[in-house]
Amino acid sequence: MAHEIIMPALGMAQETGRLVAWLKNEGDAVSKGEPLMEVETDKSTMEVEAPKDGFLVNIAALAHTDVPVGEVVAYIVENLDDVPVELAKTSSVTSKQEAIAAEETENQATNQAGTDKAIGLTEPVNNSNKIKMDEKISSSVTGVNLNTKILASPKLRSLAKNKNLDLQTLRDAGHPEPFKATDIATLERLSVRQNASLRNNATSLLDKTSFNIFLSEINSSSKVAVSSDLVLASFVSASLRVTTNANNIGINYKSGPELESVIYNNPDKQQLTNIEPAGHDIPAMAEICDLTSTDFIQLSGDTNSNIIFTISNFSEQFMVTLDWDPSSLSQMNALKLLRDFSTRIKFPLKQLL
Amino acid sequence: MREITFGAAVNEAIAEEMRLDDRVIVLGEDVAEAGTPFKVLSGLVEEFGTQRIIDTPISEPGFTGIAVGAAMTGLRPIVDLMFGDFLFLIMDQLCNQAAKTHYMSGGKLNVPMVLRTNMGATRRSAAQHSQSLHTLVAHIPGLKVAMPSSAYEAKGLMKTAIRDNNPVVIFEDKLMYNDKAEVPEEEYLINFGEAEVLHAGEDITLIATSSMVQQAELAAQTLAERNISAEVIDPRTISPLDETTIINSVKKTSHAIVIDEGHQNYGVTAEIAARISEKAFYYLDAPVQRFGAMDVPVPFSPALEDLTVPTAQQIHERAIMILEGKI
Repeated sequence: MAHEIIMPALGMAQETGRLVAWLKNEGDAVSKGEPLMEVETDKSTMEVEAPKDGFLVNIAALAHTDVPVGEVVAYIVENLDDVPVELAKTSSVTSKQEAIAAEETENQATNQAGTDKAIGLTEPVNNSNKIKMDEKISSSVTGVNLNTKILASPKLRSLAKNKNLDLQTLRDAGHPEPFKATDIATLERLSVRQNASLRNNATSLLDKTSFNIFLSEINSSSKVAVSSDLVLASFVSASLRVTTNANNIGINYKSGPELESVIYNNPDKQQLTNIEPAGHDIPAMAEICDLTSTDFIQLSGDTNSNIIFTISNFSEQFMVTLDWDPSSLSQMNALKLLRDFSTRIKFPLKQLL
Repeated sequence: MREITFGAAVNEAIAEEMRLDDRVIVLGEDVAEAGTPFKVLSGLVEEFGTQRIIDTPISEPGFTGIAVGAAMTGLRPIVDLMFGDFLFLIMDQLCNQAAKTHYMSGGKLNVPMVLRTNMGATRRSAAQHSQSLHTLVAHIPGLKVAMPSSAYEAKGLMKTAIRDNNPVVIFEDKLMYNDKAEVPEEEYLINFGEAEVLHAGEDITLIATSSMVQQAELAAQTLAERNISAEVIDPRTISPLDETTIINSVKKTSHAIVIDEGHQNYGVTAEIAARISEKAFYYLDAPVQRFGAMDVPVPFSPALEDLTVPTAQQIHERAIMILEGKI
């Protein structure tokens, strides 16, 4: 809970007070009774004390300025994580017109909620400028609530939670609140886009002559046909193992015109002729989007993977694009991963060593 | 099927039960020759005589007290309270005696009594003859409260009430006595605590009692013209309340308005809305709306009186606001 520090009224007819100096800095820990600021009126100068223990935050008025009585000049919060950020600042530095506008919006909101709330917000305050002050306090108090807490229906919250989506995404996009269940579609769209834009990528073109020879050699010496899918999945799996030291590596392999998905678990640890698809309950560490049987060379879209290899044909070469989420893979490791994979494609026989 | 009026359905229910069980008696003001001011009981005294259809002096506490005693000692009285507003006169007889006797006698005594009375404004009867006070009674453990919304329900609920071994209060909407509905000739009962889904829908649940059921149904029709599918639920008894039907409906629609002609503050609407919030919270896509009568004494001025009671149009407008996210 943020506690407001307001410009006090020291005289009966006083409209503003001069803030002479702050005696504490933004973020300082303060104890109850400790002087926070020095205030001057036409008759006297006095120190304003901290009403409770906490941290002084959101200082909104500068020293040597005149501040209207009742205006919030700072907050005290119990811990620094609770800082009511922006809005506290906005509400105290806003011009009078903005304050009135905010007040009106808030009134509209409270009218719908019934009269009880409006009464609750305007608790009487011991001050000569009472009415004016009540308005300001009520607008800044609601200001804090309205702006920090995302307004969303319980149903949407459950839906978003199940899908592991962040409602903040909707707010950042400026979507009107309160959010309702129908907004889940927008949230999903925005989230995919957001994830996509967060990704980094690198592309290389690889000669596939050796790879093709390797593949036909294997197939001529084995009774069971080995597809290029299995080889590519094994190579990616092996590269991931070298780069990330992971033990269990699931690969979500998408191929064919419909980009059908198959999961391989640790394909590099198995004989190429024995690799079987695993169940979809195996977590996939990386996704391979194999476009070699299509005309596409690049594809981006909905995916939950943090590491994606997109492999396509590009005039007798493989074009390999690695997309990665920088929060799960550093750029250094990503490039190492791509280099390792490139080496395997170019010198596939090294695999056997 | 034949159609009869709400009043005739009540009359028929009482007559049938009186023929089946001679312990059933009726007592109250103007119940015999006058057949009540609303003519609901006309004809009963001719069939059953003044020993069983008993006109009492003008003393609500007196005849209600007599009925409680009669019920405790073997009769099954139906008390006729001319206006629901007179409940305030019989609070002790009803809430302290009738409601608690079974409990306080360790189950040795029953009070199989029915109190039939009425509710509903817009009849130009002013503030002391227009109130809908069913919430007061529903608040008291030991009392059952039925609120029929049609001739069909009036008959089925009355017969169940007469056969119940506990005190039951039935509130009839006094504007509905001449409304006709299909009522089967053969015998039927309506169980207490079983709501009726009058109109199935997907988008919003309108829970309405008694006089408000018609308004909710009209609203459902106009909403349907805007491609909004409203589900209308009539709880039929508010104590016991069929919570399951209501909660399941709201889980489906995610939106709800509760409409009742009692005052909104601390009313039936508040109770049902609270239960929805408690039990279907994570399915809700908007705050549950209460819509009761305005919290003012019912005005005598017709223009003002009409403003105090929820209407189909207002229900329609609120439903739109909820669904558009404006509430």
